[in-house]
Amino acid sequence: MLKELWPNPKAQQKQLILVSYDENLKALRQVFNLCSDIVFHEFIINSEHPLRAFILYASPLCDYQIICEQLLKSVLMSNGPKGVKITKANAIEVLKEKLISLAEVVVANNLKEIEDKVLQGYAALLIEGSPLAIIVNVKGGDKRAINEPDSEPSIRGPKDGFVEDFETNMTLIRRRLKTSRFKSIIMEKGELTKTKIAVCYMEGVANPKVVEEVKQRIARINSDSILEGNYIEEMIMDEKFSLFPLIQYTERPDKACSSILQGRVVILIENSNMPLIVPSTFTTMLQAAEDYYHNSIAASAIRILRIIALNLALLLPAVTVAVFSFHQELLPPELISTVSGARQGLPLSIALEIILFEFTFELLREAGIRLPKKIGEAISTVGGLVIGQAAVNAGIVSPISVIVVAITAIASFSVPNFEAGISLRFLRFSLILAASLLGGIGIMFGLMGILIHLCSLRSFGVPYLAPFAPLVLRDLKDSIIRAPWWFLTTRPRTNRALDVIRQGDSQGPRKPKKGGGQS
Amino acid sequence: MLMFVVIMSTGVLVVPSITIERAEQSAWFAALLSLPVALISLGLANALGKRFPRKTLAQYCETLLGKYLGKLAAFGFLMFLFAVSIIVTREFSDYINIMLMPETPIILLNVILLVIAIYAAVKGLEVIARIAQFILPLFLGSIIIIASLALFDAKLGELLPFMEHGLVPVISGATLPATLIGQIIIVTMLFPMIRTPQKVAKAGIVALVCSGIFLTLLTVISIAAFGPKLPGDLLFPFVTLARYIKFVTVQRLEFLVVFIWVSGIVVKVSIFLYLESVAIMQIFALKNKAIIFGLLFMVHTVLATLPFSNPQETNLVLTKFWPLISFVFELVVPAGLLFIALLKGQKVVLRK
Repeated sequence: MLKELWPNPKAQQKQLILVSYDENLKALRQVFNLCSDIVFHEFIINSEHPLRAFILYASPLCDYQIICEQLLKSVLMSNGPKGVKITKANAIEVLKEKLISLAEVVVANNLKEIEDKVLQGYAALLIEGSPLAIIVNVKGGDKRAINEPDSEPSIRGPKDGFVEDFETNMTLIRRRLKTSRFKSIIMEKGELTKTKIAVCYMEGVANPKVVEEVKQRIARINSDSILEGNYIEEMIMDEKFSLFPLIQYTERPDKACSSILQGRVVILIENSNMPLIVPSTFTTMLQAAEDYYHNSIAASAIRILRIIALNLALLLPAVTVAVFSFHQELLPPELISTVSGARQGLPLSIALEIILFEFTFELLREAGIRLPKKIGEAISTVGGLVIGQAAVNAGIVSPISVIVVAITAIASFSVPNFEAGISLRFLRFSLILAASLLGGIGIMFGLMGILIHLCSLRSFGVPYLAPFAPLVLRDLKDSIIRAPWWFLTTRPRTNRALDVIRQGDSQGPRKPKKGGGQS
Repeated sequence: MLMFVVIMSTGVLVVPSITIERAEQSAWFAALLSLPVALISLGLANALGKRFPRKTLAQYCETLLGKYLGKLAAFGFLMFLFAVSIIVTREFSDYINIMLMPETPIILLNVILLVIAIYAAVKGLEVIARIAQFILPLFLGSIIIIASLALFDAKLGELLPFMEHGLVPVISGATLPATLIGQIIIVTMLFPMIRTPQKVAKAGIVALVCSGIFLTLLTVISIAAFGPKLPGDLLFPFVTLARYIKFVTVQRLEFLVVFIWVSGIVVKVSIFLYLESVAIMQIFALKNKAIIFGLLFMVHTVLATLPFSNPQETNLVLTKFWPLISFVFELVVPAGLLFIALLKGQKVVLRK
């Protein structure tokens, strides 16, 4: 247990608030000793016998305006409600019920609760002579504005993206799902970060077993900190090690909502702008939110294009290596003379050339991500143009490998899921190695190995390759292709949705009856 | 579906060669003839499976034959499984060795194939079935593409005269495809793991009929494209066929065959390895999977590498001894077991 690892200096966790004002103040000062951002503000409440009181809040998390104009004003400036005298005995009750004009006001009776709440952006008010504290919500502080999602831009479709603030993210989802059936269960994880995690789903659509499984897996987490989605992602996955992302994430609220509406579960994490989506399958890696906003034929064509891109990104360098070093006979005769001419007198084998260039490309990509945008562009110019051109001119590599690596790079960028892109990069190198050792057979073996791995994966009980293996015929309408909206009458069965009916049948466009339509 | 992939993968390469050698232009009929034999085999398997829905063949051997005789019979069946997977592995490496990678040692190919197949086998039946399901459409697609492109070169006249030398060569040509698709008998091992045993018979029949039809079709096309004599002399007529195709710019389609072959073989070997592991666990009451798969790996590597020195020998074994051994385990043993079961009055049990 963590508590044993880092013993808490406060022996008594649930120390009650005392009647003595000074004891309380001392105890809380002790708790927040050396915390420079915690403000203790002592004042006196007007009443028959002036009452000493103090409020306590964490200044970075609070809105000063609320504290000054609503909280302090209502406590300090008034002489109490008409006909009621504030005394030691009724101070808390009167303040809570008649004076403080804020939305969220609760009463606490122990120091631990005060500590927790204050660190979440609440202010605590303690009054002389009463063993209770009023806790009011004065949250504020700076947060990022809602921006267009950087990692998943779209041309058509909403432009708002998740931010780091938990409440804002909840707002973005709630605005889209105006039903009480949309549920969000909040859990708190991380001994030191106290990160809020919300399990969001649509009641009656999501399978309760999946929801329960998600809750249990999150409840199992016992960690000191959760700073980003991946902290919990790797702990709640089905497999200990997987090359492919078993949990999807998104920056787009529309995508999160459409997932919830399909019967999936969205895990919203405080301070992360990327909620997790479970269960996720292989096909979801190749889908973008925009697919649903464009004409279905165009969207289907784009999806097929992405599958081709996926195959190119995975296989092109490996196949090139295999063909050039093992199966030259597969090349058409016209091409073979050109190619062999171009490769005359080059020092490296094709496999080495391609590995070298792929490696350079990965370096460039990594360098580009870590640098500021302006310098990043310079890097890509130097890397892509200068090195590529110079290497060919200097006779170190053949133009073929440069072309191959370039096409591969472009193809790998058209896979929408970044995480999937990473696993593709890894597999690509493995396949190049396999191809350079065993040619086409090596690639085949490699592919079979990948296939076995894919077939054995599950994401929250859903087979990763669904709806292809196992085959779910009705789900194919939203996999490689994207059928028109009037045809998408059922939710995907692969998410184990409870209620699979999404909308009524035959809502497709109908031609008006002859003569019946308006001109 | 699984069975279809299992059978076709080996069938595609070898069948045309051997059947055509024996039956010449009537070989397609031989391929078709093998179908009823396999259907009998399936019928036996199904009848047994219905009587012992919760047991594999290895387990009900003991129930029927007593402890020692039963163990012996089950062990015999295990040896049969071994023989199939070893021969398949060897055939595969031979093919790769001859057609693609003449300088790569056979043992290396065996080892890689076995490593991948064992990876799948360790993952279990469900994973193997899903792999089969995933590759099936690609598999069928490739066969259909090759077959339809080969039609441009086909001369149907080559198929005549029908049964020039009488029925005998046709039947002798039918033995090998019959043993191949007769491998459906392995469903006796699968019964307890199948969720809907009622559907086994139906799925099995579909798989068998499809395999039979495809084998027949391929034989027809091979004969029609190459004439009655040549395919018999070729080791792998189907590959030559694919290589032979030249349709506008589409040519050299062997890679499709390699695709069919590798994917099918991996599935096939992995399912046999899986069954072997199950059988070993049940016969010898072992539990440790790592040891079993380790043993299987070593046995297969050694036996698939050593005994045959060249592909001709493999083919010889396939034609001379193999049909006999296969028939014993695909027809005689199950029939015997069913007979004893009937004598003992074992009723059909409906599994809830």
